[in-house]
Amino acid sequence: MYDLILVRYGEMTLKKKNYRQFLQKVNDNIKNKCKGLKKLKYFNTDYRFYIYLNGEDYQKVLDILDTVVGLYSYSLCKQTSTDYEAISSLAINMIEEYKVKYRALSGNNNEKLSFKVETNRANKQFPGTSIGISQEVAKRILPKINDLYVDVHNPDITLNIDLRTEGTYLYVETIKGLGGYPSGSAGKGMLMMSGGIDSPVAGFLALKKGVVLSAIHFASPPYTSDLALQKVVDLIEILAKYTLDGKIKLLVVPFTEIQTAIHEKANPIYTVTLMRRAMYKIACSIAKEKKIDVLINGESIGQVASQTLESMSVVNAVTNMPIIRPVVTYDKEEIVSVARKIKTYDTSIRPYEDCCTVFVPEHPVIKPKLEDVLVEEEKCDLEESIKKAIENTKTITLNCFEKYSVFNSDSNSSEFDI
Amino acid sequence: MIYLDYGATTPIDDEILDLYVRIEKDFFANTTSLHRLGQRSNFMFEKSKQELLNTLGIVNHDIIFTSNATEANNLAVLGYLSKYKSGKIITTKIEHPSVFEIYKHLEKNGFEVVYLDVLENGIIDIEQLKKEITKDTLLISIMWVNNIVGSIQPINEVINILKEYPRTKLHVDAVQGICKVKPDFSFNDIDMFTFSTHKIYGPKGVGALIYKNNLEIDKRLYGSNAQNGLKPGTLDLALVVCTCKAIKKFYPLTEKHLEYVKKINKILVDGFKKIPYIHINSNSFSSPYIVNISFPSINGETIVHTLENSDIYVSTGSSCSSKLATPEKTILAMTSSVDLAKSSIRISLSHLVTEEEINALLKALGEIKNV
Repeated sequence: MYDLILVRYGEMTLKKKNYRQFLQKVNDNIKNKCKGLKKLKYFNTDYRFYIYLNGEDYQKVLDILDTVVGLYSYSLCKQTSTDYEAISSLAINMIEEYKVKYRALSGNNNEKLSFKVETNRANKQFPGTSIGISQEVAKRILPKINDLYVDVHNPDITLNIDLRTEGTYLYVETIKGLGGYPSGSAGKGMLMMSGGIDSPVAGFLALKKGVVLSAIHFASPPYTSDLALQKVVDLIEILAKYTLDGKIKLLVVPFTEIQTAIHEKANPIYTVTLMRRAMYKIACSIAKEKKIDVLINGESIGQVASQTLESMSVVNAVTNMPIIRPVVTYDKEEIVSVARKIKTYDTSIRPYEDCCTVFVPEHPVIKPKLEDVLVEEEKCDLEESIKKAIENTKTITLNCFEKYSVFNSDSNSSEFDI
Repeated sequence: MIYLDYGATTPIDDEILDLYVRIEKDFFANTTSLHRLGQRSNFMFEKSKQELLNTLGIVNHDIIFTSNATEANNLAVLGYLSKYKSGKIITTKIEHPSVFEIYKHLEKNGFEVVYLDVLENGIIDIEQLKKEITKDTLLISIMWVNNIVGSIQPINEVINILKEYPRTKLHVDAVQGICKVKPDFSFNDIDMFTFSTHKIYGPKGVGALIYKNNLEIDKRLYGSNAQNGLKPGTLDLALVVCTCKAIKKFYPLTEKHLEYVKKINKILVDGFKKIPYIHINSNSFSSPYIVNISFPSINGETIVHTLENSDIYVSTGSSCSSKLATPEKTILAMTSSVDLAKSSIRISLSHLVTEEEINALLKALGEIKNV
């Protein structure tokens, strides 16, 4: 029922010199993700990307576009012949159809809806000016639809006419894309993932900016269970949808020995600070080895004792690698709203213990001083354990296409056949 | 024995029964237990749900397993409407009691209910639906295939009408349709639908409600958080896995079995046409799986018991309400004849029925006038 999808690029349109590279990347990303839909044909100008459907299901394409970062918006277009009569009669149908949807979605129950026509005259063979064409079409539409009036400044409905040399296309609806930069345009980052609400949101925001993501998780069995690890796996599988190839690597660090050493030897008020310093050390060391540029985490100012600026500074002192904290200034409510949008929220609130909730003292230090922390750290003698943890870190490659089970790493075994 | 009451229930398939036993033994741990054994069961549960939905081509729905389709219909209608105190809702005069009685109850409790008429062919009056529906109509419940005469309802047309009414949700009782009739619609376009495993060669004691992800359904039972909190209580994993198996095994065979049943249906109906005192209530709009006939002046129950003496099993009306002596409401709605409605019997078929069995039934019925 639709012939073409018109795609507009996002943030990258602000670029000057590197624009070509970004353009190439985002176009490749769209094509790559759509490669299962064989009948699609593509065309692009500098500022727009066109997908010719050739009979493919438009919904499938939209579902894919909703996972491509770097796109500002898209519109579903119908083709018509290049004359006023044909344009107007298709336009009337499309507006009548969209009116119902618009009223339902916007709750606008005004008797009349405002409307305008906008023309993009890329096909210079067609006589007249863009404004002239818009007026001609509007003149033909208005008498046929009784609850419309013209308002070119603040229209409820805009009919767009795209006059292209290969055909004339109409659309009335614009769907918002994810925005951001094309996937893979911004280097590599490693997401520190506990399984809470914040870290997946931080990961998503980084992905949106084009960062290639891997994730690191600290597991402390038997204090934390396989269920907690499964939760992290499930969260990453959701995030993987927004990557170029649908894959994210998860590194699982065995953290029990370090955590028990801190618990046994250090003053309990420093437990969290010391634990986080150890995590940063491990993550940075692995990241450097894997040529990853930055660490990413879900810290947010003041949310818990370990996320005061003083705590962050003492923890951060273990490394000079940049730490990106995408949600650092977000309120919890804002983070939750993104989590709901990307559908990580319901998974994040599963109630299992994670490495940040075991051994937590009732009153942790809120403004730790580096010299005191170093004294406590000395007592725990962590160097050996940290080295061992790095050596024994396991990598699981996760993807958004099939579920990975922590319980049945052999989930293809015939005992599960139905 | 000649069993011709497959609309009431079906015998369990051997492969499904074996699976039932295996799951009860090998996966006995509670799916909500935190330990490895429990999580192994839970993995099996999630896998069953996913494979079931995949088989039906469903992408945007969730599934809740209930104890039967009646419970699933109650959860759908009452669970969806629980946030409303009143409003307009629409159903048909020929629904199964598990839907009809809910609407009767809601009517007594402040809802405005419209019961759509059926035409002589057993199909709902679509014009009446177009007239009655308003933009504030909350819910429409329409069965896919009627359980008494087998009439196939125009679900696709209803879906198209509903496109203009974004607020109105559609609930479909798919019990007699699934794995029997080829849908002329996509399950993805239906807000809520229900089915029952024992009608498709699976075990009794399990039904399902499949509903759109973003639909808010409120709980009817209070307890644990199991199954999104909508069906608290320990899950019988084997029933769920067998439901998945039944769909996986029989849904892909829908067309093949339908072709076969059409063939034996024709033999049956041609045979009936030769018996002068039989009135055939089903017609070309009906599912070939159900043939409903009336013997004017003989009570339906008398015929059931007479056939039973020849070891042939059919039913009066639907088995769910057949012990009531009132005239069958679907036949009454179609024919407006109390006589036809009181004397109807239902023969319901399956791919398991043979031509010999059909001929034996025809022979027995031919002799009935002499009873």
